[in-house]
Amino acid sequence: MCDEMPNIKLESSDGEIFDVDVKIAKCSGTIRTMLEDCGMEDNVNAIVPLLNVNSAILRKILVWADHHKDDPLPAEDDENKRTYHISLWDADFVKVDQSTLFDLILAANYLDIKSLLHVTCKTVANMMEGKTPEMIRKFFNIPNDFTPAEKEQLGAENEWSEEE
Amino acid sequence: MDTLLNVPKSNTLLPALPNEVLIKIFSYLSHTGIQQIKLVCKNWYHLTHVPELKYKSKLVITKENIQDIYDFMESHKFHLEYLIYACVEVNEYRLDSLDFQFLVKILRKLGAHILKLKLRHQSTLSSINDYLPNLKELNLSLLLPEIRMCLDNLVNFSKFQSVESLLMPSVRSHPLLYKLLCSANAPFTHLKKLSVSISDEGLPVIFLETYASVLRWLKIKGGNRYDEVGEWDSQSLEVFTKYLQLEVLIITDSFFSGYNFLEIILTNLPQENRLKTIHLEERCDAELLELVIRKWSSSLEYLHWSGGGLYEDLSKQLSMLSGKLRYLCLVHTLGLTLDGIAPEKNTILTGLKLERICDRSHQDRLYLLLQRLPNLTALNLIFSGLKPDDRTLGYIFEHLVHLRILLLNRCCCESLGPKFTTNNLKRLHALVSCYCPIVAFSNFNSQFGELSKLGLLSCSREERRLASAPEQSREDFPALEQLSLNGFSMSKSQEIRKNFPRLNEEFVYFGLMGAFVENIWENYLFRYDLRE
Repeated sequence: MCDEMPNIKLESSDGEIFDVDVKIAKCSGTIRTMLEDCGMEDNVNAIVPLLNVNSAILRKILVWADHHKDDPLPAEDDENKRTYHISLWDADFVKVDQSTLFDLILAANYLDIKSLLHVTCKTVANMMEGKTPEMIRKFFNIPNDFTPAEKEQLGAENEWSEEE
Repeated sequence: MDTLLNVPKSNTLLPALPNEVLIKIFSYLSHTGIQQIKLVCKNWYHLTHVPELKYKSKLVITKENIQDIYDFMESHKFHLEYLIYACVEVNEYRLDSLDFQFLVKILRKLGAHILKLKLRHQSTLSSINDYLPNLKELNLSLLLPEIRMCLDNLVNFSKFQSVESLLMPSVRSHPLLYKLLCSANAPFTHLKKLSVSISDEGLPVIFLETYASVLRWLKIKGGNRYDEVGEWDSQSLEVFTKYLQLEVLIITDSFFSGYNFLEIILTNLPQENRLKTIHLEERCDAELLELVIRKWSSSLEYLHWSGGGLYEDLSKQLSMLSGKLRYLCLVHTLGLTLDGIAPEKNTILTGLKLERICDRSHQDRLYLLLQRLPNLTALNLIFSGLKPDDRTLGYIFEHLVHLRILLLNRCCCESLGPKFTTNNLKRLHALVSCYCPIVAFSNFNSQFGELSKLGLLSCSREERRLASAPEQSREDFPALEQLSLNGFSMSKSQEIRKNFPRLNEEFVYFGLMGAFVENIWENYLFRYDLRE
């Protein structure tokens, strides 16, 4: 079995080593490129250091990758059409606290896992949609750095554009 | 020792995400959503000006904002990107000559970035003729009639070589413009989409013939009287035998006495055209529908049909398209044809509009019909004559969870008014109805978080309903942009108006429900047409 599907080792930022099926690891575009470009594919003992992903997040990411390991890779032009389907499993997966969600986004971005980046970003967008600026600031704990004068100017600017 | 190595649990905040990721998140928002996040903090404000977040928005220049936009342009000479939109609309109404100078300056400055342009004055277009090198869509559908033309300042159509979409005026009396168009000597090598009025003097058959092999989208507006059709007779309609790539065919105002215009066009049009959309506004009989089905049932997804003829024949023909159509509009049919629209569960149909349906005993069939259409995203019953009862209303709000647009007639009001427990229409974008279904929810919190357009009709239960409505509405429509009220007394309208303090006066309409509804539906269809 190992002949066809070797494992590789991923090292999280806090030094934990994960033994992972290559097929699962290849959900990540970053790892895929690393393996292909650096000729690491043959070297089963290679350790891939992931400097930006801690072990807790990497563990979650591997659960995602395992669940999605048989998904077809999205075609390049699919990306703009936003036609990915968010399954119930996916929706459940991203039901986490805000800071975990943002860490997942950062990791998905760094590891180039398009499907996960899509689902997590869409989840955050859904949290914003339908809220006033004040509600959004409160929800995400963002300070308001506009002066009252600027605020008025921007309000006027918003009236120059409409939905296309 | 190990504990020393443990990295503290990270505590990432949203603003700490890299800009590229924030832009990605924002790209999932609607235009309204982007308008809101723009006002959250400075960084986000700047981010919202990247081109990929602007394709959902258009710059609309009017008498009210032209001075502001001009001043902004002058004071932000090095940040012109804040004003750059691929899509620009100008409403020249009430612009004076100074405004007009500003307008020309603005458009000349931004012209190279404009891909889609909609104008109402020919003189605007001729003034910026040379400044639109990348224009892809020229929308003149709302152009004002030619009253007096300045003859040394004519539109030169040959400047718009890259235009893919050309929408000519839908109102008559633009003979000179059509003449200019034809004399431009077929410059549109990329033309795919064309809307013309053939009752205008001067549009020769040859124009439609020139683009016959390339056009994918064609809208023809006919005239009302035979004598206005000019050279358009059954012989000239043979031009349609040369069409090969057409996917969308829309024919409006096609009533011609003397011969059957629609039948000739549909007969002439070769089956090779993979027609996805057929939109005919004239009443047609079931035989013509049979012809349509025979030729295009494998490609048809969108049908607007005005049904004459017998109910049974129409039902039978329509049922052949059930499970294929994604959008159906039926006008003028005798009876609500449950078996035509959904003989069984129909998960493909997402848009349904019914208009002027003569059916007195429709209540049960309407209820059944909606149960068979679980994937509806847009439902328009407002001018259907069909009145949903409380059972149907409850069903809609609890089960049709994909609905974005819901336009209902006044409810039928036998009882005291419904009480619903569940509202699952969280993604509703536009709603027109009486107050009844809205106030039927006792737990009201942010039920309509994405609703941007709301129309309210008065109904005979309203007296009781309104007594409980006012305090509830305030916080429940955070995304509301437009409100239209119809049938209420002036004082009642003012009372309702108070519940929406965030709305500007200019976005509140009284008694204009027809235009309000049409606008919502046209916008929806417009998107549909674009989905190639």
